[in-house]
Order: sequence, then structure tokens, then C-alpha cells
Amino acid sequence: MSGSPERIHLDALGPDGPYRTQEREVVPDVTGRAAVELSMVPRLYARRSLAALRRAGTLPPDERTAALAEAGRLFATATLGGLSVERYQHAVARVSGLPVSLVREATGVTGADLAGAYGFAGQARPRGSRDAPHGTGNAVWIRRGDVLAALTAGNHPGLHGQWAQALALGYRVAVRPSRREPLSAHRLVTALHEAGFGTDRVVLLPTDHGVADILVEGADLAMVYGGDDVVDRYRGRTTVLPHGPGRAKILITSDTDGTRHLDTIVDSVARQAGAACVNTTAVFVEGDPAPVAEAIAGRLAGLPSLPPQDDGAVLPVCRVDTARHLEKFVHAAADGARGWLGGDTIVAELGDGSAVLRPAVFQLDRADAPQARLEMPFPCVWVAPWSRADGLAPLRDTLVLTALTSDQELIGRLLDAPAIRNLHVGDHRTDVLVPGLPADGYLGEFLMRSKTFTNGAPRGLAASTA
Amino acid sequence: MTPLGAMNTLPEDAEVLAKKDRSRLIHPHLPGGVTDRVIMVEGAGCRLRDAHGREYLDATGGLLLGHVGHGRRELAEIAAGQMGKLEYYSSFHEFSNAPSIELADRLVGLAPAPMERVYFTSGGGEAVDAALRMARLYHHRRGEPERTWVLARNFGYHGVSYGGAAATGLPMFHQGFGPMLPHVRHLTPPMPFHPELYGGEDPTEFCLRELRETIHEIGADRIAVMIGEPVLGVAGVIEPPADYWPRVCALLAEHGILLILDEVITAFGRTGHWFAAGRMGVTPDFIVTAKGLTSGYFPMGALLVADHVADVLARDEGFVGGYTYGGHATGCAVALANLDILERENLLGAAVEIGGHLGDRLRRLEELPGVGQVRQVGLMIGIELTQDPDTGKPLSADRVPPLVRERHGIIIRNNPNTVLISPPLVMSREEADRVAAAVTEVLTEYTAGSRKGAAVPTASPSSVQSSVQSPVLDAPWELPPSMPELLAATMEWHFHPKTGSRFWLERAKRLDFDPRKDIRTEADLALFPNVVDELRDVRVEDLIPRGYGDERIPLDIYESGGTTGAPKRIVWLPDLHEQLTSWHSGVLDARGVARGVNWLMIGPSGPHMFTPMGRALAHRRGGVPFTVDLDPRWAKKCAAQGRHEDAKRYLEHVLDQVGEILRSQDVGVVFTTPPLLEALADQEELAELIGRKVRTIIWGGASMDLDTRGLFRHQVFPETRLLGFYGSTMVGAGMYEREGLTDDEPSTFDPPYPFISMRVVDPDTGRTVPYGERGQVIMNHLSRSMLIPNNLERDTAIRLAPAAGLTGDAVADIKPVVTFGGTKVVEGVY
Repeated sequence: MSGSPERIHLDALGPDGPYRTQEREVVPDVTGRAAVELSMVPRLYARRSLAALRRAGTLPPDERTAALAEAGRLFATATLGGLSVERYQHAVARVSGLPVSLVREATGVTGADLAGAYGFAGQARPRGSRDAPHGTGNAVWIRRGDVLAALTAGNHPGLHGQWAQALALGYRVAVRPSRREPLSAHRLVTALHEAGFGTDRVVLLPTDHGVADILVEGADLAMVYGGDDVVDRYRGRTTVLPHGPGRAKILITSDTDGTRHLDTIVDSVARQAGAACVNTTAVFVEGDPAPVAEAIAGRLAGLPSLPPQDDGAVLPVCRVDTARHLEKFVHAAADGARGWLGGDTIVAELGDGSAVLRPAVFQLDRADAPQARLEMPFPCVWVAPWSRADGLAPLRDTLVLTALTSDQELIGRLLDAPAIRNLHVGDHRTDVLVPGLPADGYLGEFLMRSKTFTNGAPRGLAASTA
Repeated sequence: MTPLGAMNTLPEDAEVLAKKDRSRLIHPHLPGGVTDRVIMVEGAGCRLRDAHGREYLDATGGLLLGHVGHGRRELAEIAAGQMGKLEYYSSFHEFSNAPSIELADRLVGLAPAPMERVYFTSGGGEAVDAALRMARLYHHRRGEPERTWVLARNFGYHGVSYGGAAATGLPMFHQGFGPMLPHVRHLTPPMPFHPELYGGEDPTEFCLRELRETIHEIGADRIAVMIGEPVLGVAGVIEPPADYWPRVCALLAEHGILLILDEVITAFGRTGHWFAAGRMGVTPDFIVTAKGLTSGYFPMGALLVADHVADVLARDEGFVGGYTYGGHATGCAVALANLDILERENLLGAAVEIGGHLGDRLRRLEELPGVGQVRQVGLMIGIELTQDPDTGKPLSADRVPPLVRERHGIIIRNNPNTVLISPPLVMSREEADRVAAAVTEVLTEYTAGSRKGAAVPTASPSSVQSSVQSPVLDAPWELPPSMPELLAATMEWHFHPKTGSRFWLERAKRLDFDPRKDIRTEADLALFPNVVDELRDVRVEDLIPRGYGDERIPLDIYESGGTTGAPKRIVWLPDLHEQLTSWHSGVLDARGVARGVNWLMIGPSGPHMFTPMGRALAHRRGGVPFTVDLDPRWAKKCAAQGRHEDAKRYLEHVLDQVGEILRSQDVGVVFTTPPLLEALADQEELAELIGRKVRTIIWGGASMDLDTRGLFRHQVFPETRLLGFYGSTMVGAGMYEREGLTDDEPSTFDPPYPFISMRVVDPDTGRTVPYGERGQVIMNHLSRSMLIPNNLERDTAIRLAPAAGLTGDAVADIKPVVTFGGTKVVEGVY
């Protein structure tokens, strides 16, 4: 990577080091100005990189743990490829439109995630399984393959700690960065290389969609971020882990006064600039939803409209035309709903070609209204009535559900529902993950499996693995 | 006449509007590079004002309408009154409304016999379509369902709906829109100013003879109708000899063929009569009208139908198919009031008077060297420009209307070589004088620059025998003739009855031009329609030029496509085979490719040209050809259907065979495609064998991006020469990558000009793009054995100047188009 104030050049990071291609993609900032020039690798390069990853060995566990910790430190503090951490954060804010304070927070979280990657990954290990053979007979936790392709997203810079767990478990990883925000993945792979992961153990391969398919098909396993189309495409593929929309929800039953939990609800909607998959998309209220919607709207209306690099920014920013398109889309979708906030506009132009996406609060008239599934990349929440007769159906297909209820029987049913992947009861924001607990299941459940190993051979012939 | 009012649009608003126009509107007939916009805001009489406040004199009536002039408040009030009462209701089924009934009755009263019924539409194009449908239905109901053919005329204009466009005899409305409506044959219209079209015969006699022969060829019992304009309008205001239409009408009637007169332009006073048909003494079965019916105050057309036809159409289930706005109550009320004005103000008489005055003044322009003929019929005038009156070689009129508008504020129109004037019928004598003065001034200057063009000599029919041994056609591809020489010789060969192929001689009957006369420059090849779709089902014997004689010739047939439809076929005759392999081998020698080494072709054989061409070159250059076959249609089907596992297994099967050959045989040249080369690169052993044994890799058949080419050059096969090849089965040949290209220069290809030439065009406009810009590739093949002109390839490329010492355009950075003919292009699978 090299940079100038005008434009940052991001090379691909292949098995032989940085690779600058003739084919480049220009990534604009929120005003539409070219901010980043990204080298896009061809199919041949992607296939040769996968072959190189496959040929490379795995670092011993203690070395990779140390290298991951060092990479985390470098990621969070060092000047990498000519970009100081401050300039990186500023650039991510300008390109992604996310508030710089959020980028700073994500930088720290990613650093910590890397330091703890081995431990986090190990949370998924079944009791009784070990990383290495032990004694004469036990269950050994082994990788399902050697090479993982990670097709990442650009909606939040903090998600890269996820795939780093695969490195901790001994995978070699091909990362395809988001073309919308490639800086974070590039910085992390650069940090990993500098920390001692060989360039043939983790590579960064910016590609178009066609070559991305080559990565998914050519790797042993793949994790892919995307929309419902991605989830549908890979549903049923045991070698691909799709991450789709979160559609996080909050349920307030009649035994609970929702307005007393307003901080939790509002933060769930609007923290992370409302752009994360764990931000609340819908709030279901047993009884009249209007007071809750009104209260949320009242609080969200006060959020300031600031450019993303401003320390006080909390809302996402994008190009004006993009914002207008989103507005048109949301207003079309909200046809028939009661607009408590954002019904007139969600766009606050900043005068430089960019615009803040302002919060929106709409009230629906029934729990199964389709809008309740509409996840937007800014604070946008649909408040709907819910009754026992509606049952759990509207609450399903949910990454996180926060239930504000004291109904133990209901809590038990919510806990049993597999389509509700995480459940918080009480005052817990949907966007706050609990360290050590699974975010969407443990990644290790996908990457690893247990295998019986008994050893009746003479001593000294014990196999080793890691 | 209402005066133009005060301006209520500011110039800055005009700029905003123009910007919005550019980003929001699709204008017909507006080239992509034109950013200028004239935004009209108001009009009165013949005067118009635009959003900048500039005033114009309208000498076109918009598009040959505007008969009663702009800004008639009376018509606005009639429309408002009718809208306040009943704006619209459907005219389908039994529903009707008073204005439409009144208007129909009025029209029948004005029209010549035997028009008795009226069918309303939203405009002339819809009315033409309706007339064609009615004509076929008429015969169908009468027990002659095989009468489906439509006779139309070259240079005729009948709108751009698919039915109307098919009947339109102007190639620009077919190019890129095909296939058109089948069973349409275009005949020659009488154009006395162009005697060269009739080979010395009287134009009317020629046209009648052609009509008789056509009826005989197709069969009268298969022809439904003929359509024509009484006076060719868009083609340049060309009035036929007085006996033409009556004799055509009689001949058609003799054979039971109906006649549609398209009077969209001529009706309602433009010629000084309510209808031109009456003036010409013709009794058609249909009269198509629009334009002057409402003078543009409402979009509306009316199809007038003879009683004997209407009787058939109205029976049984009636005429199925209508237009939503047909018989629109407001439109009909406006039309009635418009007819009142025409009558009350004697605008038919005005058309004769002002038209005659304008015609008299403009006819003096015939003395100018670049003006061929000034034609005036009523208040429509065509001024045909010509470089040389002796040959009729056209002089473009494109620049005349802009000059007249810029200098004099007068709006006129043009077709390619004719200036067209057709003002509202309310134009005053003073205004007509202004128009005449402006056009005279501009044309005097404009034509002063024209010169008598030197016609490219073409072979005369008597020289056909000698052309069989034409030195031009027999020139080796290494020593090519000039493009004009080759064009003259190939057109004469392929379109002379004694030497041309059945395919081209038949096809020539449907061309709007005479290739032997009209194709003189490479740009003229764009006149040809793209015929490749017709090569899907043509008998291959019909592609052999008759000049090769009756002896059976050993043929090679090669196919292209075949994934989404029937494959297209070309014929390779032995002399083409010899010419091409000789040329290829010469290029390979020049590039230092070793002779005497074995070749391995990994690619499609069977009906495809890829492997046979490699095999021929290996033989010619003293090597042994090894082949590994590939069925690209199967591979593409797998890819299109998402059957990646099948494709993967097929690829493994191909590579297994490659391995067997590379391990056991000496191979000096590999000829394959970029995707297969990538697959070889994935196999360490095969890549190592190629690196060790093979000195030259020729890649062709698909595109290769710069980065992939760089990886092959420097990482995968650093010791092996890579030579790109870009070819097309449809033109039977191709070309090699230019030498000495650096890593950041895209693969660039120079064709064996003039036998193969290329244009790079904007696919939307058909115009050649400037050097350095990307467009879609069009290839031409001109040789004795094959003529494939104007073939639109499914590739885009950057147009470049030719390499030093070469001629014709080069192309670079070939990429597949995303879709072709509406089908997604599957690329990169073999």
C-alpha cells in the first residue's frame, strides 16, 4: 500500500507479496471523489494464490498465537503501508461514511480480537476434544480443510476479527475485501504479514464477482457476507458459511413498560451508526405500539448531522444520489405505515456531494407486515403491534432478539426457537456482543470437527497434529 | 394570430432544463455526442420561441404537420370544453362518443370514394400497422389465408412500429432492429431524377415491370397488399409520373391485391388537396392519415377503409385489436375544429399559393453546382443535393439545417442529401420570402465547396468473364489491392448474375441500393444489413459464387455460435483456404515462429474453424498436428446452466488428453484459448512440460486481460513466446497480436486489410467511434469466395490507428459484450 493525500493505492497482497495490477477499481469517498485505487486480480492470479496457500504449511500453535497478538497490536497502533492509524481511520470514515469514532472503536476491537483469537476460537471446542492427541485415546479437534476463503463485507470495519479465528486454528486464508471499504482488510492482512504470518498463509485478493466465485469453489471452506441472495445461494452448502442480514428485533410484552427501556431500544437502533447487522430492525410491542414509536422518534430526532470524520458524528453518510435512492426506496416501502420520523425525508445534505442518512421510525399495523424484515444501512426501525396470537412467527429469522419481558414460559419458547440465533432477556442492546459467547454460533463449529484417535502403537510413534 | 407572449422562462432555467433533458430524455434521431438542446416553450402561427427567448420561424411544421399554425386558442378551448364534458371513453366493443362519430362522418365526406369507414388511432404509425393487419385479415376471412406478403417500396417511410418499419424502405430503420416482419418485399419507386436506377428504361415502365415480375415470383395468391406514399415524403418530396399510381392500382386490382396509400404527410391540405389520392385519380382500399388531422394539437391518426374491405372486417367477431386512445373524444373534437379552420381559412388554397411562390423562388437554386433538383408539391419542398448531377452522387445535407437555424433563426429539416421544407399552411408570403432567402444564402455558400466527385470505376457487365481472372480478386493477401479496387471488383463479382452466389443475388432484391453502383468506399459497406442470422439456415451450396462454375468443389463448412440457436455457417473454398494459410504462415515467419516443429491444437474442431486452421498451418510449415478436441457448445451450456461440476469434469478430461501428448511427443507450438491456458497453468506438471518443450503459444478465441497476459509472460511461461490471435468464423479469418507491446499496452490487432477490415462503432448510433474509444466491432470480409459485409461481432474493442505501413483500423483490448441479440454472452469457458 502506498498513499498520498489525493488517493490511496491498495495493492493485492499475494503469496509473493504486493501485486499491482493494470485492472484497478476506484473507490470513491462519500462525496464521490476518488479516494482509493484498488488492484483487482484476475482469475489466474486467484487460482495460483489458492494453490500457494494450499502448498504452505501451518504455523505451530504457539507461533501463530503470538503472531496474531502482534498483528493485533500493529493493526491498532502502527503505521502500515504508509498509513498511520489515524489516517487509516480517517480514510475508512470518508470511504464508508461511518462515523470516525466508530472506526476508532472498531480498530481497538479488532486488535483485541486478534490477540484473543485462539481463545475465542477454542470456545467452540466440544468438551472432551483436544487440539492434539493425548494419551491412548481421545477426541481430537481437527480442521475440516486447509484453505478458507473469506469474502468480507464493508458495512462495518470490526468484522475482520472473525476470519482471523481461522488463522488461529491453523487455516490458510484468502481474503476478498469489500470493494466498498477495502482498507480494513488490507490493513489487517498487512499487519499479519508484518507480524510473521507468511505471505503464503494469508493473502488479500480484491476481485470482481466472477473471480470471487473461483475463491469459493477453489477453497476448502468459505465464509461469505452478503444479502439474502447470498444466503439463498449457499443455503445447504456445508462448505460455505453465509452471513446475511441480521434483522435484529426487540420484543416488549405487556408486563413491561417499554418507555422505561428507551435507552436500550434507541441505542440498539442507532449505535454503530445503525449500519451493523446487529442493529435493531423491528420493535414488537404487545399492546399499543404508538407510545413506543413516538418515544423512539423523539430521541432519534435529536441526533446531529455531521460529516463522518467529525468526532461528534453518529450517523452514516453517503453520496447524495445514493441517499436519495435509499430515501425513495424506504418511502416506497413505508407506504401505508405511520411515519413518526423520516416520513418527510431521511436525507440531510452536507453541501459537498454527501448526505447524512437520518433516522427513520415507522409504525406498522400488524406484526407480520413485510416491512419489519427490511434492514437498512442506517437507523431505521419498524415498530409493530404484537400479540400472543401472532406467536413467534414474526420474531423468527433473527440474529439477535432482546426480549423485554418477565414471561418465563415465553422466554423458554424463544430460547428453543432455532431461527432466533441469539437471545437477550432484559436490558441488553442487540448490538452488544458478549465476549466469549457466540455471535452467530461459534465460527469453530463451522471450521472444525472432532475425530476419534486411539493410539495402540509402541511409544514414540504417536501422531501429532495441530 | 396570437402574438408570442412575454418570456416566463429565464435563461438559467433553460440551462437547468437542458441539463435535465440530457440526463433524462431519450430523443429519437439524436446522436449520443450532441449536447445542444432547443427547448421550445411557445408558438404562434409559424413562429416559435425557445427557453432562452430565441425566436424561430418554423418551416417544418414540426414533423410535416402544424397545418393551422401554432398557438390557436380556439383549439385549446375546444379541447378544454370537451374535456370538461367527457374527456375520454373507450371505443372498444359497442362504446362510442359523439365527437368520434361526427369526425368519422366528416372524413368520409372529404375522402375520395370508396372510403366509407374510419378506424381511429393515436398516430400514423399505429394506423399503418392497423392497415397491414386489416389487409391480411381481409384475405384470411375471404378464404385466402396464404395471402400474407406485403409489397412496399424502397425509400418509402411508414413509421417505426415493427409492421410499419418493416414496410419502410430505409435501411437505417432496420439496421440493429432485426429480424423484421417477414414476407415484406421492397420494390423500386419511380424517381425520374435518378435514371441510373432504371438501366435506361423508363422509370414507370421499369417499376411496373418489376411489380409484375414480383407478383409472378411470389404468386398473386400469396400477396395481401401493397403500401406506398402517393408522394415520397421523407425520401425527398418525390412525385411519381402521373400514370404510375393509376397503373399500379389497376395491376393490383387485377390480382386481387389491396392498396394502402399512406397519406400521413399528404392528407389535409399539404398538397393543396384534402387527399392526394383524389388528385391522382387513385382509388385505394385504405388511406392512412394523421398529422394534419389535428395539426399536432392532439396525437391522433385515422385509417380510412373502403366499404368492401370494411364489410369483411366488421363481420363475424369484428376487427380484433384496437388502441387505447382510438376515437378519443377530446382528440376527435379538436380534429373537427381543426378541419373547420382548414376549410374556413382556405388553407388548402394557401398551400398551393405559398407553396408555388416558395417553389418558384427556390427552383432558381438548381443553377447551383451542388443542387440536383428542387421539387415542390403544394407546401412541401425537397432540395436534393448532389456532388455530380451526371452520376447522382449525393452531397450530404446534414449541415444545412443547423446553418440556416444558427444564421437566420429558421427551422428546416433534411434527409441524408435533401433539404426538406414543410411549413404550417398559414405561412405568409413574407415569411416564405425569409425562408427562401435564408436557404438560398446558405446553400449558395455550402454548395460552393462541393466538387464533382470522381466516380470509382466499376467493372461493366461485359467484363464479367475477364473478372473471373481478376488480378484484383486474385491478389495475394500479402500484396493487397486498394480498398476501392477491391470493393469494385468484389461487388461486381458477388452481385453480377453470372458470378454471384444464389444467396447474394436473392438477397440483393431486398436491398435498398445497388451494391455494384452504390458501394464505393469502405463506409458504404454499412449500407448492407447484417446477414449473419440468415446464415443459420441457408443451403451452403447457395453461398458458392456461380462464377466458380458448375464443377463440384471440395468445400469446408465452418460454424459459429450454436449455443442459443442454430449455428451460422460459412463456406471455405479452396482458393480462400490457400490465400489465408499462405498469409498466416507469412506472418508467423515474420514473427520468428519456427518451421518444422509439431503443433498441438487444444480447442474446438468438428464444425469449428479453430483446429482445422491450426492443422493446415502445421502441415504447411512442416510440422505434425496433434489435436485435443473440445465441444464449446457443451462447455457453454454447462456454464450457462450452472453445471460447474460437469464443466470441471469435462475440463479434466481435456487436460488428461493434453498430458498424454505433452508427455510423449515433441511439441513446438501450442494453439489454444486463454481459459484452457489458465487450466494448463493450474497443473504444475503440464505447465512445466510446456515451459520445457513449447517455444510458441498462440492464444485465440477469447479475450485476455492485461494482468493475465502479464502473469503468463513473466510467471507461468517466461521462456515461451505468447502470440495473441483475434479472429471471427463469420468473416473466415483473423489477425495476430501486434509485436513489441509492453505490459501496460493491451493486445492490439491489425487486420489483413482490405480483405478483412474493421470498424468500431457506437452500438446505439452505428457511428464509428473516435480513435482511442471503445465500441462494438464490425468486420467485413471481401474476397472472391466470400462476402460478409457489416458483420456485428459480439466483441467490444478500442479503435486504434493502424500500425506503421498498414492501412485500415486496428483494434485493441478485445472484450466480450455482455449480451448479444438479447442473450447473455457466455465467455471464458473454453
